[in-house]
Amino acid sequence: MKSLNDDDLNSLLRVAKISPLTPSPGFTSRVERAYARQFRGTSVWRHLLFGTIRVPIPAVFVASAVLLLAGAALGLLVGQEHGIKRPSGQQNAIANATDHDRPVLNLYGLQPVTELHFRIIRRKHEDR
Amino acid sequence: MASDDEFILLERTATGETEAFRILFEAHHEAVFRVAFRLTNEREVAEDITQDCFLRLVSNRGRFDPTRGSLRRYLYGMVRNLVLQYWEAHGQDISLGDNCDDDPPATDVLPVDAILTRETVWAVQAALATLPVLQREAIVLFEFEELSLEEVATAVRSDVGTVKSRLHRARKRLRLALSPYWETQTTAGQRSIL
Repeated sequence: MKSLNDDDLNSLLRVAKISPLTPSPGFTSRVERAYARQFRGTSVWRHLLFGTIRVPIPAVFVASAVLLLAGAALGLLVGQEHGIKRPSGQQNAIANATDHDRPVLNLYGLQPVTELHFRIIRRKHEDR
Repeated sequence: MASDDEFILLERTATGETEAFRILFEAHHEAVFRVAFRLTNEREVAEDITQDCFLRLVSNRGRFDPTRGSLRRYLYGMVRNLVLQYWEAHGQDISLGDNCDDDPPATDVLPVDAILTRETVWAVQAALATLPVLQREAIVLFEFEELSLEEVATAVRSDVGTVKSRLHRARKRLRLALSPYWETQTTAGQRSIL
């Protein structure tokens, strides 16, 4: 059997390459119909409701970090507005002044006891 | 057609613009079909794969990046993946493609009777069908679609050295598979001269 050399093979491949190789006649319209069906199936509203997007993983990490930082900053801001405020120097002075106005307890005006009434208080088990 | 223009057309297909889809389809469907047919050797399967390829192109249009290459090259990669999926679904072991012996078993050689009745095109197509799948896709993309070695390597997700090796083995197998046909052709030619 005579074997082919490279040139022979190239000539055969060339003949095969230049010969037309096309799909069947109705193929184009079939694909266009399929495209129309597919597009009807994916309307804009459907895409908005159920569509998905591709997001690179690094972008997810960056977005998460930004959200965390924004949340932390917001938390600090809210805490400053509604948290316990430290009194200023003027407020301290006012507080000290009001403390002096309070009545001071002393023994002035205390009268001696004129009559004593004794009352013995015992526990229950001591009665037995 | 420039990649950027194709990218714009592809975006327009998202709004259901049939004309944009038709332009892209007319520009590329024959090449996609040729590759699918030469890889599968079945017309109906090749048509199904071609259709699937274009519908997926539209639905996954965001994956095409015009800065990384032409749409044609992107489509070659897609059709290659779809053919591989088809083969896997039909139980063809694609892992055998790369490590086959250089000398194929006798059953891989086309029977003389089968190729005697075929024209050259069909003889070549039949010979292509005997190749292991990875060698077949390499030779289809390199010899028939005239991609460079680098482009073939990109499309089949391999390196240039591997593609060269596959091409060498594929040509060796094709020479062997087409020898009976070639012999009958040359003998007939000599007879006609005499």
